Amino acid sequence: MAAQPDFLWIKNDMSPDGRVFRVSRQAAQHSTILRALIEDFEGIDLWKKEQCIPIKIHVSDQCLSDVLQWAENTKTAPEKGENADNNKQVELAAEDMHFFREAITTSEKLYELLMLTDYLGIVPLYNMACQVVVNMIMGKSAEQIRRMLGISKDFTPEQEEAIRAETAWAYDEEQPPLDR
Amino acid sequence: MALLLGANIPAEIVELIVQQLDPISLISLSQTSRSWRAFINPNHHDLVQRLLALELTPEHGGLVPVFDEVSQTLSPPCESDEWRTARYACCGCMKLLTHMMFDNPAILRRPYRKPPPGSVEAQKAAVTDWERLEPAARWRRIQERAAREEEERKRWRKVVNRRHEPPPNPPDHHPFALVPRPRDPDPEAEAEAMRHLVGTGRHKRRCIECLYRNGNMSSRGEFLHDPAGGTPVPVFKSRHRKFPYFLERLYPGLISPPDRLPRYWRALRITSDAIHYTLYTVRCPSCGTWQEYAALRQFLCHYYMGRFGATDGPVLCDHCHLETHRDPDRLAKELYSRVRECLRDYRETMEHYIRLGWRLLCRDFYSHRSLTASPWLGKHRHVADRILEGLQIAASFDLSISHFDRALDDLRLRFERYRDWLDTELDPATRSELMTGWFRPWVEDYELIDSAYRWASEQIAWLDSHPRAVLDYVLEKDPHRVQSRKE
Repeated sequence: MAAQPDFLWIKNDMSPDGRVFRVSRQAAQHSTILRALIEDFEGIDLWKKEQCIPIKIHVSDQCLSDVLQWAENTKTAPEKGENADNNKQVELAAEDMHFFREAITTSEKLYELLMLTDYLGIVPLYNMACQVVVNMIMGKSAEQIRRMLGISKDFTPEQEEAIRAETAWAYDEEQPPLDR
Repeated sequence: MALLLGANIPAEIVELIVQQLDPISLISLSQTSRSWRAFINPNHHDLVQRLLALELTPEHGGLVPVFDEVSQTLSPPCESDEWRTARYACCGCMKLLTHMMFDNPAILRRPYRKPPPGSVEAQKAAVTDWERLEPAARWRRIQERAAREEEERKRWRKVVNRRHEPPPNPPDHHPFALVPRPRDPDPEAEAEAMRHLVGTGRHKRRCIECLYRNGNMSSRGEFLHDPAGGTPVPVFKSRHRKFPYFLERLYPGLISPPDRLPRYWRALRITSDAIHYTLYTVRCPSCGTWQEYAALRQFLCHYYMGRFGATDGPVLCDHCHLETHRDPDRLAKELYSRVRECLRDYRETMEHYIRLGWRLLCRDFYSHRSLTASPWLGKHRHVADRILEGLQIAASFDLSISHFDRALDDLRLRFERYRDWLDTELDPATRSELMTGWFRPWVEDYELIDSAYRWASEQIAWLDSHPRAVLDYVLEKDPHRVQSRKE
């Protein structure tokens, strides 16, 4: 029996030209979906270009290419059964920081990355993307978050009043005098 | 471009992101738009968590003091500058307030303390426990978690309480000395227990205004009776602080003390560099503003006698007194008298120190310690005769000086002569035996005591020439206010 080729093919179904991407077996291991496909359909025509796996969400070719490139470059073997862990703080390694700085330059790209990693089940990258969003929000006031995420303030006057009451923590109005 | 919500991103992704936020950002995010508010739907628990997280941030809560349970001391101490910006969360009125708006238990008791970095509570403040659930289900989850944590804490409390068993023998050094609790033989276990226990009850912390309004005075504060029939005055015990002298406790910054003041002579510790006073916070019955106890003009009388003396009207703070009587001259006179009395007391204390030292000196030279023995320094009596020549000394060895001010220079010269003899001619063994008790600080601090006496006299003279200075200071600085005045 001939040896299995080391590549499988992924097609971006939602892009106008339906671009096809080649993914190595090793890189595919980072995706729980691709890994399951390989395990389930080993020996079938999965490795032929005509049998490419469709991506049916709206992501750009560039984003798909970046993510697959990240998977190619990341040598660390993904853990089997790795799942998104709620409330887990993720620390970004230097190469991952570089990836986010170079590839994810806009909020749209970050959004696509979240969607794609969720769709393909690339848990480490998905967690890191979430952490990047968390870091963007952390330590900012409501107004700053609104500006950063392009959210418009649409509260009713009653809600405005309730929010003002929630912000009453903001100190007693003055500092106590002298050194009491 | 609206990232996340409204961009068809699955709610699960948004949920995961929101769950990784800290309690402060969670509320900020919920206050950005209606859709975010509906998604997060923050409840009271989230707001409390946010407030408790805020009190741990340097920009909002200031310092996180460390309390040593063995020595029962705070680090940094209350008189340090860091405490000026320290704020604590009141989960009754949901505000961050100055530490003076809390009584001692609310700041110092283990569950109410600010948790230090690395403790379980501090870690909890880093990530929210928000979950996307129906309100009722969320509350159930919160209560279940609280019950689990309480069970965990019970175990840790047992570790700490083991240390509280009484020591096997009573202290033998002094019956009044505080008994330090023995250190735990397993400090690591105790440190770990503390990591789990400190700050876990902060959501129950209430400021003194909340305690007063909710009628919880009985356990924590007390009401002082007003002899003039006015409203009883609620008072709470506050921090224990060091002051260089009494007037500084009454009117901080009014008259700056000199760089060095003599040590105080105490009964047990012989000397101390400063005097410790407990601060109290009272609520003026008229304006309802919480202030340091010294804001009441009746303070001095109560402080010494344990009750207010007879007054010409109800107990009021200085500002309310001025507003009620509209007589600044009368208030100025009262305040002037009060400060003058303090300065005079201080000067009298210095005079007492000087006189007491001279008395001890005379006793050493002339007094028989027992019926049979000769005076201790009897063989050096000629030295005393030379030093004390011309001074009138009573039978009790007190100096008979009618105008103490005028005698200061002369006494100082005599003292310098005495100290020369003490340092150069007296044999070291006798000298070291002599320099015990209160005689030692008298010899060591004589110049400081002398200077402090003169300084107090100068301040009294200055005050006499500026009788409205205290009133101006009170109106300008409002030195006793611990919260903003209510309009």
